[in-house]
Amino acid sequence: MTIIVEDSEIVVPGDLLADGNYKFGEGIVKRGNNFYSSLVGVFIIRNEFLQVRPLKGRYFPNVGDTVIGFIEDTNLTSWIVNIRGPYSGILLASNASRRRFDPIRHDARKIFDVGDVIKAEIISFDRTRDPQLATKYPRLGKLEGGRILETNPHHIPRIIGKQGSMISMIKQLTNSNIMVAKNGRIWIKANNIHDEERVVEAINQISREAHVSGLTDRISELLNTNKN
Amino acid sequence: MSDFEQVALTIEKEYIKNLLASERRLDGRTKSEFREIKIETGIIGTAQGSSIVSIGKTKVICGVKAQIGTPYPDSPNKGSLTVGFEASPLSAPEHRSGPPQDHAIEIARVTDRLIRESECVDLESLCLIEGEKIRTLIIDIYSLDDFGNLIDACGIAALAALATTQLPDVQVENGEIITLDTLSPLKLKSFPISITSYKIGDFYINDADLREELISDARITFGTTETHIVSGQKGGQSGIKSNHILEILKDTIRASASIREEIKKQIPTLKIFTN
Amino acid sequence: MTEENLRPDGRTAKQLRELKVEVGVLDRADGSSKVNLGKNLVYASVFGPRELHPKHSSKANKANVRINYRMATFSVVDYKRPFPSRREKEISKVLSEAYESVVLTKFFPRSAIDVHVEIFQSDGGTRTAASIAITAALADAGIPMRDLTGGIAAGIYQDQVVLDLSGQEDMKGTGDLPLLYSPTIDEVSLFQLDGLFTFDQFKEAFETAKSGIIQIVKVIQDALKEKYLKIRDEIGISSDDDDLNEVMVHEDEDDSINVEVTNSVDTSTPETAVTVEAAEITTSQETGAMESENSQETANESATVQTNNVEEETVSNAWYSVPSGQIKPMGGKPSDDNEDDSDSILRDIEYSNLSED
Repeated sequence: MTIIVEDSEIVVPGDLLADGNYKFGEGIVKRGNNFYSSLVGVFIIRNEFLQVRPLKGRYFPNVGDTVIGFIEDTNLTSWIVNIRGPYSGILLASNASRRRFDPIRHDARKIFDVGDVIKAEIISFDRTRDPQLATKYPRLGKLEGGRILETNPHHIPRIIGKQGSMISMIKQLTNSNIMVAKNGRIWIKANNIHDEERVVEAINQISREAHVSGLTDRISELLNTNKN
Repeated sequence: MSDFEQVALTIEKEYIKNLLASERRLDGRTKSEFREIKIETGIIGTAQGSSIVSIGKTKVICGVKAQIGTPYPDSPNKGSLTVGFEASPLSAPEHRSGPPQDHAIEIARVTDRLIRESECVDLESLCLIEGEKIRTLIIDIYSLDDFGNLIDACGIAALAALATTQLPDVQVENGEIITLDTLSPLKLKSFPISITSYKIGDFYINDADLREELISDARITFGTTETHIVSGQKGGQSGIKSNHILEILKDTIRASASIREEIKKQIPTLKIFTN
Repeated sequence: MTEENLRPDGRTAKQLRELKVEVGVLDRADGSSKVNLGKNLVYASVFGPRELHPKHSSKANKANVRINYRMATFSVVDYKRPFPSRREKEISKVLSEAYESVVLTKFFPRSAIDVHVEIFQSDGGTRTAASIAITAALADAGIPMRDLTGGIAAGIYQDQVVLDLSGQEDMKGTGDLPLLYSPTIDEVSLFQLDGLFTFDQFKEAFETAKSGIIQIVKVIQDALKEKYLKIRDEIGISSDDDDLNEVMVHEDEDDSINVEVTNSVDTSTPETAVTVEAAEITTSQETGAMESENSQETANESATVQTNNVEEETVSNAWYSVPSGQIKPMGGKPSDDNEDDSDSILRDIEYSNLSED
């Protein structure tokens, strides 16, 4: 049982991290008793559990994730949704609304059309089939107004912060409405352009420095100095 | 299935239009302002001239190859040049490998016309033996990073590569071409620049970035030298009011002058040999 | 070779050309790199894992790694025609296969990992320079890999085994052996050979290439880390600050909240309405994680190839999911804690409002 690389170090594929008997999660390949990194990421050790947190990479869908999707195509009774992952999301009319959808009387395009932005939840996904989305639950549906920012999905936990502390702080200091989705898309709406630009600036800085600690202080400093 | 095509977002379109109405853009520029232009030259040793040009995050690479060929029968005393462009799969998820896509061919043709019609390269000087041997300049451009407005980047890249092109000296002996070890710069006779105005709603902007380009309704490109208008191309699916054309052209001429200054600053050796 | 045992460019027999690797150089790509190996100039972009088009060429249990190797028209001394040559197609194929064995493709079934690699200036050894760029770009894109692969050629120049032949040496040389090799897993993923080698020359060339690759992989590792360490250094805060850890702990807590399954589950999609206990998932994750792949280590000693160490290779199936492996049941409840009162912007879908003409 030896830890070879220190906790929070940046590792790359092939790096030998530890040997012995550990539990392990993402970003790790075990060969014999040796644990190797399979990613460029931050090595995390938590109670004999090893993991490499990726620093960059595509969003990978998980059931229960709230995502911001772009309608790419409409069919008679379903929509193809770009969720920025390896697979397109499928939104069936039966999952779009609680109301019954009748393809003869209703036009799918009048509900969501190509280019629309929706907030949806992933209700099923098992890699063998494309992720199924739903918008029929509360607080889901079409987004109107505001602007969309795309960022590295692995930075989302940092943008949200501990107990949502980071995002609450940004919202408060910029007096804006922000929605952060697991697939790295962020919807921003503030009272004026200046405040929206401040949000964008803050998120860009978080993305750039996501793997460096002490982030909350630096962001609060940024937002307090660029008020006007 | 839309096969990696980018989707123009409805809310983004609204948002950009609203910004333009209050004289703003996504990245804080004014309507006619370009992103930062950066030019590197002489990076490719296997080419006679080369450049990497970035406009903001948009980046293209250009190489000029000089070959010896035979002239076209209708212009026995003129060398030839051609401009190619590949929307490289390096530069965006929607650019796939395979035969060139229509929009890439359009960019190549627009840039070709800009360089050709501006007569910046004196084709007669490329003739080595009249009716038999000429030089052919092949100017090929590849996109590296597509963040919008590849058209204007290609124009600048082609010009920068030509402005720094060094051709091997040749000697004609008994009708044979002998290539020498010495090099001479290609002399440019004019300074062509193309600027594209993108129409978004009722507004026209220069140097659209990726998001702006995606939602733009139409575009119009003017290629100009310091004295003439040499090429033009209207693209996009919406029309442009005829009384806007002159205004756009005036703005283009103004903007072109400042882009020329910027290019001169970055390529100090650039000289134009006007007759 | 000259009396001082120097090569045309002044290198010693086992010396690499100057190698420079940069990652994250192109922003549209998911991962990218720029490599200078001597005069070779290579750019690589990675897109994916993404949907595969055409869909019928997808594989049900793994991702397709598709490498597209190209040379720019001006990258060679003579003009290169713009369309792909047989040579470019062959190299694309062998490179694709080489990386299929290194990338952990089983994480992304049915998808494609597209890599485009383009040579803008060439001077011998472009396929191995390309492999350096591909490895760096794949790692930069966050694609999980069993190891970092390096590539280099060894060859015979003036009857002597040399490392990393330049264009000039390649032309006059009598043997060329390009190799892609992953040092940690000790696997060769691309091997080509042309020319005349004696058995001893082959053995020496093979070992020379392998030791060159170990140096190359070190350069790739440094390039991948440098990008992030640089930002850390600029800000001047040490990495052992525990802010970062706290966030991770918080995430764990967050995800272990037991979510109740509401009754609003849509019966029209019964397969999604599976309720699973957290504990159950954890165990199934662990057994699932035992999915293994036997990698045979081959040791090559004086032409007698002995197979030993059939080592078990395991990866966690908990890919991209939280350590506890818990899956949140669907529906009904807003799932994130960062919700705001943005109901106002979400238009309730009312079919009755739609025109029905």
